[in-house]
Amino acid sequence: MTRYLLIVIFMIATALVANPLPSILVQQIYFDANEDLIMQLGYLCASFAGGTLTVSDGTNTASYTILEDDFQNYPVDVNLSTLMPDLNVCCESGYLSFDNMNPYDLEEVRWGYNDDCDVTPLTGSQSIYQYYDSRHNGWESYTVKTWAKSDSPDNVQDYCCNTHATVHVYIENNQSEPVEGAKIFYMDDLNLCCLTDAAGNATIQLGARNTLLSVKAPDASGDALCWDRFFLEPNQVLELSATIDYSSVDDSVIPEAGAALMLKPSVLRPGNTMLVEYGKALESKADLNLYDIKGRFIRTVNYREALSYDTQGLSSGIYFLRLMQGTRILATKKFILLR
Amino acid sequence: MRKLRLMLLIPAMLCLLIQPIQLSGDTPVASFETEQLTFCLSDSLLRFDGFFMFSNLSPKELNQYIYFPIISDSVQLPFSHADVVDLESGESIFANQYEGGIGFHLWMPPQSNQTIGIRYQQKLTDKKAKYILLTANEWKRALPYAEYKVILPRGTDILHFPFSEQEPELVEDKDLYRWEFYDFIPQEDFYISWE
Repeated sequence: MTRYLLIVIFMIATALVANPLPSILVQQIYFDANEDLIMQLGYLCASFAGGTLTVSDGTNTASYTILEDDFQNYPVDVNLSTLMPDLNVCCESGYLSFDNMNPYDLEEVRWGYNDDCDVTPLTGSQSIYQYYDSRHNGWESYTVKTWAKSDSPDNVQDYCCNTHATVHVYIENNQSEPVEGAKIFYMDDLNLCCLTDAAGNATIQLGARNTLLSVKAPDASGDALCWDRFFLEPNQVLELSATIDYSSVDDSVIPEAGAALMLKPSVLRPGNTMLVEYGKALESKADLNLYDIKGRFIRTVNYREALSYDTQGLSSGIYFLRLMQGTRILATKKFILLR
Repeated sequence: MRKLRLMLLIPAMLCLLIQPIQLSGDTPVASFETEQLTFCLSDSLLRFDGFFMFSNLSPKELNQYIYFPIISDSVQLPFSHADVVDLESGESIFANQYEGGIGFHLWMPPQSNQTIGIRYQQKLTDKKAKYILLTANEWKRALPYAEYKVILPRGTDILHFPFSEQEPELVEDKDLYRWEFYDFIPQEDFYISWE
């Protein structure tokens, strides 16, 4: 029933839609029972109806024309082994690129390259699928499209991440004592991912995908320790440990949880004012710093209690207000200035 | 458990490289931040003006193909041309024109925002107009801000309001209706009819 509802919704969308769509065309790749390599297109093929998808393994190329009714019958399975009889990908090395009609919109999956679109060889009934993944850059979350593995092609739909792995991390210092408050980052998250607890442990749920983990001391001193890239299998539980050169915990760098910075409104026209309010009473004054979308400092004002913030002199765009006491970040919030 | 950790520690330390945090090579996707749409309607013409603000908060440049379908049916006749403009630079953006819409490349430097203007007009054979909002939900989050304006000849009676019913504001001898939403998750599509 859900499937039919989705089909109806997207049939309507095909005929009527009038909002931009992000573009992922290839939903997943897998080997079928005959060991043929299957490429599956999801509902976003609606955006490419009538276009041509060129598949290449670096040596051989083949084209597939996306039909108008593919969208109505999604997911659409295309047998790449039939389409490309000389297909040269054994899932141990090499790559496949998927080039739709738009020259800069390349989708690619690789085997054995140890990069972000690298997936380890598929085993059993596994598939690799493409989905939207949320990341953070220290200010705000953003979205990337990325690849992961699934236990079964049947478990993949609508470009969503549906497979996870668990990583337990243990951090100790040079005296073999557990380190509390060590910062565990993953992939290109420049924001804090999680902190180790008093026993030096942290548990992270990640997508079953190519992963890079790193750890920094609680005071963020020194270089980050990084684990080489590794591929997490669906439902895998992985234990990692590391030693960092660190002996004391500085509580002042641990972010305070439970209080948010409220901006009303958070979208306004340049020159207008907004109400800025921190969700917790402050015992001493703080700095309310303004940054642009690149993280460049613009100006600061003192904050003690709720205030009316003037956006005079700022042009249209995206900005961040960050409330700080010394080096301690209390909260960060984005706002948008309209044209 | 402790022993296991120590066993893991040795190969881990061999593999551990002391280096700065590496950046991912994944392809960033634009975030859809705001839309400000104006529908200027008469008995036989729809003029659409839309501002769409996108952001790229990732540390990498972004190049994403945006497909913007445009309704054409027996009421809203096929459009002949659509202008796509980068409102930050004022430059036109080349758009591929398809039977059911347009497509263009959204190129954004790392950590940047961009506002795209889209303008087109269509002949109407009846006093009604539609615009699909539900696909905004495909961006996987609420739209932080949406503003919709409808401009009609003065004194026009609206039979079906796209959002809550309201009284018009008189602007330059036209009736202006305006709705704005924060963290907008549309529940139904935009539809207006008048007499």
